[in-house]
Amino acid sequence: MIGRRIAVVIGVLAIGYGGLQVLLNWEAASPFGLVVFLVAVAILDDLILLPLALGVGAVVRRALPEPVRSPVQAGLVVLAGLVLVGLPFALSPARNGESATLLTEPYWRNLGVLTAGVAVATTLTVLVRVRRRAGAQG
Amino acid sequence: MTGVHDRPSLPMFAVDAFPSRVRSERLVARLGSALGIAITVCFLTGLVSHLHQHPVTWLPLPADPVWGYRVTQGVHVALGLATIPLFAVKMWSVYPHLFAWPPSKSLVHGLERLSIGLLAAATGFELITGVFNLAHLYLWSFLFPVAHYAMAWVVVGSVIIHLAIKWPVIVTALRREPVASADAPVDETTVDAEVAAVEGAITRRGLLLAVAGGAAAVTVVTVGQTLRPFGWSGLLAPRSPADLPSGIPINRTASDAGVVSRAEASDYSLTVGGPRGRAFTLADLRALEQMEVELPIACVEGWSATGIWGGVRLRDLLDLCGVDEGATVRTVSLESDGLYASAEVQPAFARHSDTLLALRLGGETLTIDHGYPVRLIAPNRPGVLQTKWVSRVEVL
Repeated sequence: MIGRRIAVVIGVLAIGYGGLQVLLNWEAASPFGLVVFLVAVAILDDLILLPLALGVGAVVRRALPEPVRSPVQAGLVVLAGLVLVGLPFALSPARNGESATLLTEPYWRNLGVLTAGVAVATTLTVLVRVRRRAGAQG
Repeated sequence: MTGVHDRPSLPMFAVDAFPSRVRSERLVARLGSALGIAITVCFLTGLVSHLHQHPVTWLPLPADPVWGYRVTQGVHVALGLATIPLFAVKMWSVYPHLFAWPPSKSLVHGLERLSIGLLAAATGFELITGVFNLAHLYLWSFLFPVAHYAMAWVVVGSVIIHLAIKWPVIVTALRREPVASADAPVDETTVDAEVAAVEGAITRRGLLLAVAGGAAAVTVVTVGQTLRPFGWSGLLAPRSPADLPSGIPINRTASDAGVVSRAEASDYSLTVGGPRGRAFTLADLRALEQMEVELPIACVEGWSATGIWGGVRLRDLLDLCGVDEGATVRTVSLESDGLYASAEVQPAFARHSDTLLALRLGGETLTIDHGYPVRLIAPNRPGVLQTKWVSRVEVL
């Protein structure tokens, strides 16, 4: 218990040190802008992305029976990760702008390619599972 | 110990509103462990970069290994990107807790929830600002390195608090033997199908595999920016050095920096300080002993590329000018302003046999965007501190 209490104190000190960095670099850290962005991140995460994921999850659960459902769910998890990483690159105004060597890939096309790839892998998994299940029952 | 579904929650967000039996303390603890390791590694590698850019006398950084910065920052960015699917699923796994009611049962409970809120928001902040920085998508008023560094301490502090509070739950959850009917299928053809049929959802093992698959997919399509064997698969890589002339990316061009006319001026000279300090014309520099070194240029953005650099050893120039061996020097660019218009070069770097004031890259005269007429290239060092268009070397 004492160890955990010490850990809490260390944690508070570390957070305080982060706060101190903001105070010491007041202008560069732009505290107001930082808090606004922090709140925006929380809203994006908790009130937009997660409800969206839950909504898609609910539709998949109702619409798709096993053995199709699980591979689709797994495929969507993988695809979500790729989209979260790829979208900022696709949307960035820095493309074809400030530096000729930055963001050189055709990100929209490549996100399409990756989506197709995930779809193919998901379909193959479903087919394998259907055959296995048929085998197990036969 | 109470499970996720035993918690009271806001009526409108009854736990049944988003049911999934896949959510369990064991799953949460396993996702959390992976996330904790990723955060620790990202924090330490980030700290390395911070120390490079803000050196402290009590912890001088070594110039060797020459690939140190390339590896630590490549890992920092690759792991940060791979953490995105992990963080997303971890948030999903604990989402019902967000609506636990009442918000606070006691002061301690309230502070606990506050620390978790801070942890989630600060971690999300680090991941999003990190990716947006790779995309040069600056949707904020703060300076990225300052905010990313300050918030890293907030993340680490709130992780420590979170671990301290949840320790008994975590230990129990990770120790408990998996129950065959609720966890990993023993035999995919039978148990997996049964579990799935009963639960109506992906199995926990299936979800962990999907997260691992997501992290692996993100890595494979981006890591080519620093690991050339993966150059072919860099579908979402923010940089693809393989396609570039001379293979070295450019973050800031000469016209961005406003140095074109001064860099191309025929009366260019490099001024070196010291007791016998003097100015060197390009012809003077070319007349000195020329070295060729193979060194990577590595960015905090996680990309890196190796070049064959040719030019004069910095230490030879410093010796010529009678500069003390223990002196820290500063390379100053023709660039009149900008964060990285100058850089301190600590003795370990200034005196390293591989540190050059480079005139050539890949056997050719430097192009203006790579820093013509003279640029610094030193081992184990952030790209932004490899000063381009060097006009002066000051002794500090």
